[in-house]
Amino acid sequence: MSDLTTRDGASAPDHGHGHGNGDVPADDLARPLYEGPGALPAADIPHRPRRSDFDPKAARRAERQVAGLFLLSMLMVVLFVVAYIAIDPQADIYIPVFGEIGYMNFALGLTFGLGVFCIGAGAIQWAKKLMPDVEVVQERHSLASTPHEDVETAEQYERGKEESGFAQYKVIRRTLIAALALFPIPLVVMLRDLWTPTDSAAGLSPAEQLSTTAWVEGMPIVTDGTYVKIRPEDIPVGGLVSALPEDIEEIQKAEHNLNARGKAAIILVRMEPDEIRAQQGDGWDYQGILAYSKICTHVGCPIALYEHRTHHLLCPCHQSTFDLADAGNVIFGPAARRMPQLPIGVNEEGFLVAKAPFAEPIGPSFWERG
Amino acid sequence: MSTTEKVGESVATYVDQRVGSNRFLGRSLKKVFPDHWSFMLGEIALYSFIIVLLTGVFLTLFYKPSMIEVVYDGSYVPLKGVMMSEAYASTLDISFDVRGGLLIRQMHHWAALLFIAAMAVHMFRVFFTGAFRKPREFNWVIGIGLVTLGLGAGFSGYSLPDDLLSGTGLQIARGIVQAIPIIGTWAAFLLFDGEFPGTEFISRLYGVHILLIPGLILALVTVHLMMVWTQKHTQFPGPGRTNDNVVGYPLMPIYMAKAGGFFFIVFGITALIGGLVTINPIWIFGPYTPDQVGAGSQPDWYIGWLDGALRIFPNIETVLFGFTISWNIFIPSVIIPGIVFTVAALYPFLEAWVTGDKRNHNLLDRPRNAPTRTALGVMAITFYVLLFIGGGNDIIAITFDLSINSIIWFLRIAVIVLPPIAFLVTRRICIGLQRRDREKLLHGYESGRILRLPHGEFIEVHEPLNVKDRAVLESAIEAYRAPLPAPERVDANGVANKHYRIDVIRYKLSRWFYADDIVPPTRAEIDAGQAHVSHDAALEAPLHAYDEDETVMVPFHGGVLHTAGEPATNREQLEERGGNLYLHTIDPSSAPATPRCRGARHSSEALLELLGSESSALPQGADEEKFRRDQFVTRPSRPLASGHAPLVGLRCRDGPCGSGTALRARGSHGDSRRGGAGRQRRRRRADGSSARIGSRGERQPRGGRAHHRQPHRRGHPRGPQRPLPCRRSSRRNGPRPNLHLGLHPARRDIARRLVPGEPEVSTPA
Ligand code: HEM
Ligand code: FES
Repeated sequence: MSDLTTRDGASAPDHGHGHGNGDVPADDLARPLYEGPGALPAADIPHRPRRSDFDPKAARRAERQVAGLFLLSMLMVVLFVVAYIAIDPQADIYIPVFGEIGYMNFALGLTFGLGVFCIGAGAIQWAKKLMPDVEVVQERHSLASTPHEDVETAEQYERGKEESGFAQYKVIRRTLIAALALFPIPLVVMLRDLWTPTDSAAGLSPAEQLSTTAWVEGMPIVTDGTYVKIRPEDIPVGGLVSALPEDIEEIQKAEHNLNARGKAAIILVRMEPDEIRAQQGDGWDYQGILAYSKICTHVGCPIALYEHRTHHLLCPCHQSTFDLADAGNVIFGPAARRMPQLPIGVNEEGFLVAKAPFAEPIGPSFWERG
Repeated sequence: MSTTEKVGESVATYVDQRVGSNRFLGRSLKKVFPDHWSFMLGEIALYSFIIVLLTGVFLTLFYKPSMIEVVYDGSYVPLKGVMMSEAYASTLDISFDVRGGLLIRQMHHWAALLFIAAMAVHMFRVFFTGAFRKPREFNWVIGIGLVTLGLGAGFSGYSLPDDLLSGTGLQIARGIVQAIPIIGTWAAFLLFDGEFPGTEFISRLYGVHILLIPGLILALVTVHLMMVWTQKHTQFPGPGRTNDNVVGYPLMPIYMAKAGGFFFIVFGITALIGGLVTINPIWIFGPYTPDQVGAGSQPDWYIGWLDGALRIFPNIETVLFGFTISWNIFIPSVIIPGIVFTVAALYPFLEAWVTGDKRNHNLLDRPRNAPTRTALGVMAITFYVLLFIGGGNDIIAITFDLSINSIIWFLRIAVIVLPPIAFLVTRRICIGLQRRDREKLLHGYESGRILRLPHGEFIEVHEPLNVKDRAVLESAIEAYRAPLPAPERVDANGVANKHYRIDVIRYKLSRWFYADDIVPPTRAEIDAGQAHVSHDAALEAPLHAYDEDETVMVPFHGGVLHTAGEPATNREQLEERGGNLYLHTIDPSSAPATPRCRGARHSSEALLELLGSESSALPQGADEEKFRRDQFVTRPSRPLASGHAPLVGLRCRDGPCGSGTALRARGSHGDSRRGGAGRQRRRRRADGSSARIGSRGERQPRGGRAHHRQPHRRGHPRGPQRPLPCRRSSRRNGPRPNLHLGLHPARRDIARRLVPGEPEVSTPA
């Protein structure tokens, strides 16, 4: 315990003697009381005794509080088990401020939380009231090695270098370094099969896959969710319909994923034909009905916030705004490219269909997109 | 020794013989840790990480990391029969069909938020106090690594439930990966096994979330703590605390109990919050499909700033030789965070290079003593907050009915303009605080009390600094460094300096770093100043009654001394009367039926009689005549809360009563007694009113009054200076003259010296 001293200079275990400066002669007032950090004797660290230090009643009270908290914790654990067994998991309960919440969750959280909390509160109360609150001083020691150790280490290193001949055998050294540089390659190469193209996409590069969608010429357009074909008159002026290609369900079944859906989603909007200021291709609308990709060209959120008076389409993710009356151009926000438009028409049965695939890749940009 | 202890001892011996653990344990159990509330931030981070580990393991027992589509058939009715991924279905099961599952899920999420929040605040504590300086640079770098991993852990966890919200987050992440030049497309395909969303990503993320990242965090946390252990904790400056020691409480038993208890407290609170407050109610959002999105979707708070950067960045994209570079995505979501984290990690080395400081630092800086660093930190926070606001711009637009466009334009400009402004303002504030510290070191506290000396001169009494404050303020001496000297082109031997250009840059940066720092006074200057102040305070001291329990005001009405607890006067009332001057004197007209206060001797005797208390013992060896003349010392009959009989002293200075007159102006201590629970108690006259007479410009007496002899006797109260009559205040029914009590500890020391035999602090055996 050599480096451990209490504030009053005694060794650690028997701290707490009175220490006084009351016997300083009165004419000593002009003397500086302290000399700044470092020069200060530990005894001068201000300290206030706690009530429990000198009042046995207070000490006993603290003892009871601590034990009481531990008891409460035990009680809570019992209640937890009771709640776990007794409460209907589907029941709700109204708690002011927190609103309607699950009864079970509330009861379990409360009992478990309080149970754990009380252990902590008890321990801290114990430390605060009953354990000594006298600060002690410990010296720091230099972390750096001594010069002697430094020399010894250097010697060991030199000896190793010498004995291994690392400096001498140039070829060995270089080939070793090269071998070490190459050995991680297999680990990286093996990552290649993180992506194995599905059958339908076999032979397509990533960029080609990103550039194709399920839309082909004559593909009927169906509503999202109910999958019914759409007639032009189903869409009122100012309306917006989320739509998909007719065969989307089949593709999903065949591929067991949602990839095709993620690319093929479109929105149909209808405006008065004379409101359309520009389109991405001549006559790509059908009687004022326009089809745009639903996937934001920024980083790919699906968009469905449409303001039918201004014809603005707003992305909920980063608020890019596209003007659907003006060829889907970006009018504000972080997206850099217009929304791709799908040329549409009607088939002989009078249902809306795609007249051609998308003319450009939909969704976020990628390096090879061009 | 109890049986348990005996078993424990033999186990300890058994283990020790095999691994030599007792040596380590013995040293460790007495290890000292300094105490400060801000040192608990790191603890909170550690504990919440442990909670996350525990609850996470529970979740793995029920969660299925699979994107296979299934039909939901659990007990949450609105989604019955809906197609969804197994991941989402199992998360619904955890929430509705596993008893306690929702509690654990919510605890996991809350603890994750707490984990990252605690790390962030802990990081700022370390930054602003300079705890990252030598020898702790590595630990800072590890800390930055932990924050980064924490973000990764949070994001990967957030994506696991595969609800509509988390899927949207993944889609954005995919878009970001895809925007990386050259490798982006391939990287995205490898990560997702093809196109978005694919069927693999959740299970891949799962491994990352429950094994890779927690494993790395655990490893880094271990190293982090081992370094704290060997390097020993830093401490704030204070009495007895030096760069070469640690002052605090020993691990056994105090820290065992406190830190262990605190773990349970954090755990308990997390459980309470998990039980009461819903977080991430995934059942509301529904299963993920790539063609739907909820409006107003928001990431967790720690991702918000990155989302904000993505939102406000201008839409620049270039096509070069047939290749697309999406600056609008790449810069805000890859480059900017990359720079932020790199600069953060390198900061300790950059600062050390600029300042040329190679010393070890175990005493923490007060933020004001490193103005440029503090300003840089505030600048970073400003930048972060602006981006964070950007992340919620849609919510702000709706809540405050603003246009999104104008918010974005405001932020685009503000992100560039406001951080530097924050820098400048913070630095000025720090330098102002430094200046004030300097004043305090040289001249003590402004007491706000005016003392009229026998020959009529008014001075404001300054109080000597107490031990704690002085130690804290003096840390400025260690913290202060002059800028580096200008480099020479050629050295003394005529050898050209090869690094001249670099040295010039460094020199300029160093000048910038230390620009305008206030030079602290030397120790000798401080001693001289404080001695002077003590002397003055000692002159005035006996005019006041002393009271151990400083929260109690003891008013003094016209010469009648009331003991503690007088209901008519409390601190609020005193503050209300702010600005008034109070007469502190023994008022001859107000001690009815007693001998008039004609002189010091009379008054003290009269009062002694009035109070009927016993006079205190005469100091050993003191001249009784002098003592009785100068002192009036008594003890109220009622002991105060602290268990000590307060020491009460009064003094009339020589000459007719009232010639030694203390006036009280509204306190002017400002922040002189800062922080710390212990100090809180003493903050009685400190009510932030320093502006009244504390502000610098007014230090000099107006009108150049000749009585202003002492250089440190500055600061007369603002407003007309009326000579105060030695009579009861005319505002008879208004506030009565008060003897303001509760002494500064340093002055209490003086009082103690005057009256030895004061019961001393003692701890129970
Ligand atoms: C290292 C810090 C960690 C952080 C910051 C973190 C964060 C998260 C978050 C935010 C969630 C979403 C919870 C929700 O609202 O549903 C989550 C889910 C999950 N975490 Fe962690 N986690 C961490 C470590 C772990 C560990 C170590 C495990 C397991 C050993 C784990 C297992 C899980 C599981 C299984 C889920 C999915 C369960 C669900 O979605 O409800 N986590 N995590
Ligand atoms: S994804 Fe639409 S604006 Fe970002």
